[in-house]
Amino acid sequence: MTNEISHSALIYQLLSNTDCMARLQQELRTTFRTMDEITAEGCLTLPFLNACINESIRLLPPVAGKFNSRRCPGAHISDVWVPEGTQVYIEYYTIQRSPEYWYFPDEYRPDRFLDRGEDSAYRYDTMDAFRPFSMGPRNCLGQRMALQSLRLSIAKVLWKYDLKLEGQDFNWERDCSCSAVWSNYRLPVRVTKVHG
Amino acid sequence: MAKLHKQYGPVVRVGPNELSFIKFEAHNTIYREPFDKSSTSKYFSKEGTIQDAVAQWVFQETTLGNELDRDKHRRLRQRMAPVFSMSATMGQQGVHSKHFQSVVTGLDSSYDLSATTDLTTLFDSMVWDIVSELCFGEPLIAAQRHSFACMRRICEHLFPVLEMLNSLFPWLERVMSFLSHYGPVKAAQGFLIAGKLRECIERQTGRHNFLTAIMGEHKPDDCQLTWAELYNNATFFV
Repeated sequence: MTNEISHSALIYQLLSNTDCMARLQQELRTTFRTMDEITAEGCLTLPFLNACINESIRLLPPVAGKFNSRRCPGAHISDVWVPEGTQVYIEYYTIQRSPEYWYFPDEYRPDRFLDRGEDSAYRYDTMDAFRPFSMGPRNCLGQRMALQSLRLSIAKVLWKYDLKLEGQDFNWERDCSCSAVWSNYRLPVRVTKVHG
Repeated sequence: MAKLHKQYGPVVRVGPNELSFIKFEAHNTIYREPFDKSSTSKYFSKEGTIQDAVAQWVFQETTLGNELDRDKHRRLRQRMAPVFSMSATMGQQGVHSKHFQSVVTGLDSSYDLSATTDLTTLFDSMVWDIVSELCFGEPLIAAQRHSFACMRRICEHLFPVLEMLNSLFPWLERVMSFLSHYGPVKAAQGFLIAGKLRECIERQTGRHNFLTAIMGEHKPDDCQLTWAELYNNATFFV
């Protein structure tokens, strides 16, 4: 369920950020000559594709933090004493958009996952605040499979087609709700075939 | 939640007995490692949360999602880990290619007709076929996807109500957990009839998918998990 949300969220981000879409399609179309060349191994090493995926999951993590609630055994959490039995969780959507951790936190900027040098605008971005699959003994066991599926699907669709969002009235952050997972999202598109 | 954190800071009390954090140090404390590794110690457990209560209702048997005992959960996870390794994942790309064809068909048709198409529908259908084939060794039929979609819609509407009620009445979770022993909703049973699961298992020789991982090295008749446990774990991944 979460994987299909990530597919739609990524395409939505790219359709809303046409410069990123063009750059990604250039990377894909200069790397692969035929659809059959688009393999999991080939996609794994494409820098901009993987940066686009990470940036999409940062802005629109598929699962709400509350879905990962725990009961506190009585402990200090981030310098706050929390009594035993209190329900606690990390709010992923908010932490992954916190201005404390991210430069231009609400903007889709895949370069933050590529450009990490001393002169980079993103040098102070805190990757420890990027935990879309959680961590520890109950982290997402299927994350590798989910990312591979995303890489392959997006690479193949954007290699073969040009897409255009139909209607300008849909805004994911405004129109979708997320109690446990995102709902009410949609992607009406017009398609142009680039490769037969 | 984002607005609440902007107004009140990195820790927000969102209910009488509920705290939301947005510090990465808090993330490390809550999720990274068992709070104390000794088996008798207390730790940050899923037990007692409303999400756990819902999982107990949906799944009748132990799954990776609702097993609360740390040792049992670790063993179950170790059993399934090989199918999620890098090499195993790479080996699954044939399943992706097979079901991606439905996306191509949908987009080609949209292009030929100069019509608008909803990509979410195509992606939802493709991911359903991929995951169900990996879980059960074959794609589940469309009617089962419809059952799943219905269950998902119910959960989407029900969850905010449950959360609100649980904030007002923290004992609600305990009542739900108690009642789940007497009246599970059997949602997990909606996907595949038990007889068909047995047929699927018998076809798994030589394959590497979630089902064979759940079964471990055991032959179908010698599997340490019961049929219901096999079934519920495969369903959990879907």
